[in-house]
Amino acid sequence: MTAEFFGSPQGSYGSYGSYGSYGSYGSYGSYGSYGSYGSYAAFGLPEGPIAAEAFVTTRDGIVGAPLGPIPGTQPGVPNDVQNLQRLSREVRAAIFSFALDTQVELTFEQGQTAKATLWRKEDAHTGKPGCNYKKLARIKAPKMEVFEEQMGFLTGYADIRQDRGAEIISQIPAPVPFYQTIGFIDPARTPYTLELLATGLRFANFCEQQFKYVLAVKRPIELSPQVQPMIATPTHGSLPSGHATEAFVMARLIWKLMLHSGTPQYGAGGHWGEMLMRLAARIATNRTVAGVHYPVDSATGAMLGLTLADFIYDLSTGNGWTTAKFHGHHYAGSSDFEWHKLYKADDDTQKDQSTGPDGVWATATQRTSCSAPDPRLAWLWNKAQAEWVDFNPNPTV
Amino acid sequence: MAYSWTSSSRDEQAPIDALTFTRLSKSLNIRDSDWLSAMVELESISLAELEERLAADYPSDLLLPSAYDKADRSRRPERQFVSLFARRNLIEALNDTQNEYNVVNVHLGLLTPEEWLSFEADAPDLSPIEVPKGSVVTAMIDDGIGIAHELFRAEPEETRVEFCTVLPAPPNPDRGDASQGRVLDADEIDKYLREFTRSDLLDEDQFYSHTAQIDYRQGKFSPVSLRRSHGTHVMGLSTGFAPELNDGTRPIICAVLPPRVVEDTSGISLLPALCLALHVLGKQASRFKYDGEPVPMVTNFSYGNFSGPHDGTSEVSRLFEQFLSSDPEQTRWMTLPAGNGNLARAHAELQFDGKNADGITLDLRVLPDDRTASHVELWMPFSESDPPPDYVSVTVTPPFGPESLTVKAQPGQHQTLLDELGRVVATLLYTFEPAPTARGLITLAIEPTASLDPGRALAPSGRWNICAKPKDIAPDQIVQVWVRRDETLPGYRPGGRQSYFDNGDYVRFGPFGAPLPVDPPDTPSPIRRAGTLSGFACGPSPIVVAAYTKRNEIISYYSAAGPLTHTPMTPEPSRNGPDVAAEGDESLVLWGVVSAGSRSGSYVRLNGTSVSAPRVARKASDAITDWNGTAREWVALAAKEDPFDLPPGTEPERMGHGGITIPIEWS
Repeated sequence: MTAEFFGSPQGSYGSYGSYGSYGSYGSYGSYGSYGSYGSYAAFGLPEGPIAAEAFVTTRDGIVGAPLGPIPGTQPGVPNDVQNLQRLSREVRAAIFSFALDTQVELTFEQGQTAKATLWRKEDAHTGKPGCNYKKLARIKAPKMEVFEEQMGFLTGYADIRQDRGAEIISQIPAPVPFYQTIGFIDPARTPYTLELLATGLRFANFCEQQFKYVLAVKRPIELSPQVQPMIATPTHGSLPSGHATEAFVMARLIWKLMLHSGTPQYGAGGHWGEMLMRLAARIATNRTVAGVHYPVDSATGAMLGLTLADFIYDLSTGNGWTTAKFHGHHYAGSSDFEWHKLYKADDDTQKDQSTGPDGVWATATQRTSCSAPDPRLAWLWNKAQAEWVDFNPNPTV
Repeated sequence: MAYSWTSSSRDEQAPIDALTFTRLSKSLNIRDSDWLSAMVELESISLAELEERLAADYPSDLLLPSAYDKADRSRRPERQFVSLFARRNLIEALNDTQNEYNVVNVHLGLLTPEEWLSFEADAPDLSPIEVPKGSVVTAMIDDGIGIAHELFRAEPEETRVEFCTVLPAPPNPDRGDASQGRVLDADEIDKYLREFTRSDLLDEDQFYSHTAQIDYRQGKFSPVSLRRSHGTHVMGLSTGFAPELNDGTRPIICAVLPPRVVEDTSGISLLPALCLALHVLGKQASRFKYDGEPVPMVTNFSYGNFSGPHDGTSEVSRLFEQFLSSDPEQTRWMTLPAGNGNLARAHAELQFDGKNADGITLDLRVLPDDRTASHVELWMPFSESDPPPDYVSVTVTPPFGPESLTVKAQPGQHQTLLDELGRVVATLLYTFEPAPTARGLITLAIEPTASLDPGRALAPSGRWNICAKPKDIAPDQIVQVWVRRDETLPGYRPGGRQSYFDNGDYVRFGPFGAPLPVDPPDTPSPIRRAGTLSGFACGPSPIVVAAYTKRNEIISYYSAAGPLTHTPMTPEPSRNGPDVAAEGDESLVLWGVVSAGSRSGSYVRLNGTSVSAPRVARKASDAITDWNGTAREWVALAAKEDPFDLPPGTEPERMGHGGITIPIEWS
């Protein structure tokens, strides 16, 4: 798994500096093969001066006298998704990131607490840069007292570190392998699903880091010397939790692929969806166990992740999106993170209202699509979607 | 740091319970307004009378749990154990041998937050519950019971748990039927099962936060939040069935004790909580009726300790007898683990014959970084005379000295070890445990050797010498010594480390390097494996279960052994060790057995006699209805009918009637 492939999700921060051992992608052996795509190395010849010398001498040996122009070559097909198929994964990653990143904008207001709004373009793909935006996700930071009160959770959750240690360490990088334990995801079987997830993770990180930056919420380690996190505290802000954002983006993207695949067991009962969300919630909660996040960070991150996944889905398919708001002043310090308050897995909808002891702390509204699907993202989505369609066991019937 | 011993004046009040006395007399962050749980033993006085007498002297210092209903309060048996909540000054008054409230025994429990107590609670609903023919109430007391595990459900959204009291949680104000503990009945449990099940999957984190079993915000440790929890595992063995096997004949009632983790590091006692749990469960059990008659009950309690008189007269043993006999119309059996202390080096026998005629010295290894107090109990022989004979005298020398003055086995004997600042770091004192135990007890209490509190007085770690010299003791009489259990399980907070005897003549390993599970014949060492049976498991009625290692066909090394301390009141002790041995480990390598994990669908390993006892409880539940004899007679026969072969010559003190094979199939 290369950095290009999975972009820069939370996990990659571990690889900076002295924390290299935490973030190493190398531990996921099965992704190793991706790293070699795009170079000659994939075919068994090491890239380097010796190979180059070999190519030079080979050419010298067989090139022959110069031929004249050879007619008949057609021009390339501009702006056509057919080209995507012939691009390397790293190049496609840049294309997809551009397609997503250029659709959003983030604004900031300072009230009683910081408030940040992520906007999406309303009228994309009209041929000219547009300037109409709609609110995609708004996060108003809770007051300081909430974080102070939430420190009690950090103490309580610390007691189960002995149980969660292996999970926490394994989930420092993008925890894709954990999703592979629920969805049948494998580089050989579902390469485009993995590419879609990587795209989603990069976009989630792109957005969440901006939220974290503008909201500038302090980490638990700055509120008490007794948290003593069991992993290095990332340098970026605490709220929203990047792990929660990315975990729920991944869970919902996979769940959407399953739901819309027509494969019977995925459609009935919502079991896979429920399990994927439970996994996402556990990954998020593990960050509180580790001592680097408050439960409210997870709640905010889950809301953002669910919203971004729906947005990616809309840009890819034109099937509608969700706008969501986090009302930080109504999130009670006594509230733990409960994902069920935000989302209903069996019908894949975000709840209109999420309430707690201090009132409505999150709201969400479903919207119909306000722009045509992006052809590039649609291409990727359809490729990924096809990986989940079951084969007909009785083709003659 | 220099230390010095000082004698206390003889005219100060004599406490009933030494540990209660030392805990209360030192500044242990117990304020006068704090509520403490306690268990008291009353003699010839009813609860109503006690309440009335105390009302005058201590009008606002007593809370008698509402679980004691009107009938309980008016009864006046010769002796009875009662769990109560009281403030410090009242407990101090009750712990005086001269008290005028007919209190003959006191055990201090835990600091209990006031918001965890309900002062207005009414007596609980005890209306009968009709159950099918052949039903047996299966009862459990433990910490961390994952009641939502599918092995305890009748249907995906219907529990088999008819009653559960979570003692370390505030009472539910909407119910108003418990002074302490959150009471959950089947209706409420089912409500949560329905509410938190989505796409056929129960969100158990949500479930346990609503049952008050998990509360991270309060920083309250709950074993159910871990993957492996003792109570869940044990209950899976004693009464776990896949829902499809449910026929309604194994209702569950259970009590969740406070976890074995408390910030009070002076030596906690779970006895008051246990006493309350037994009373509450006993009352509940009587509700289950078929054709107007109570159906039988089998209770498993997989706890043990090292200390106590080990003659069947301890408070715990008698508490169990009180529980088992409190409803004469209901057949009640109980299974208990034999204990895991066989190799703990926590037991010594002092017999002053032959070369020991001048005295015996015990080397007690007190570990550094021990954040909890350590206790050694020297139990004198039984005596009916008053005062009892002055059997031995004891001196104690901490590492680097000095030696204490002599403490004799006589009332009023009391030495304290002070540090340079005059703070108590160790106490050596004599108390008398009244009839039926009727034994003198010399207790050495040693303060923690480490603390994060810079103001705390610390005892030195290292080798403490306890020197006992014979006085008025016959060559065949034995002073029995036990070190109290004081080990904190990994992950729990208090940081206790087990002290143990370190005499050089104790042989730990056999010629091939394996641990020696029995004392070598004619060992000169006073440190013994024999007589390590759990102090809880010495009473006459419960079935006591040892553990075997299946593939190796041996009694597990740790499985504690009899015999009991001889009690002259009866011709023979009520038992000579465990009754039977059941599987505690699959092999020496594959330790433990598999049972329920804390979350549905998960199965984990746990070992010890804690897991062998519930296995027998499971089988007992199938047999109790049709058996006319005692529980122990039944298990003796059951071991013959389904034997597990152990090597010839395995001591009856370790295996009782032998190994028993009990297969467990949950589905």
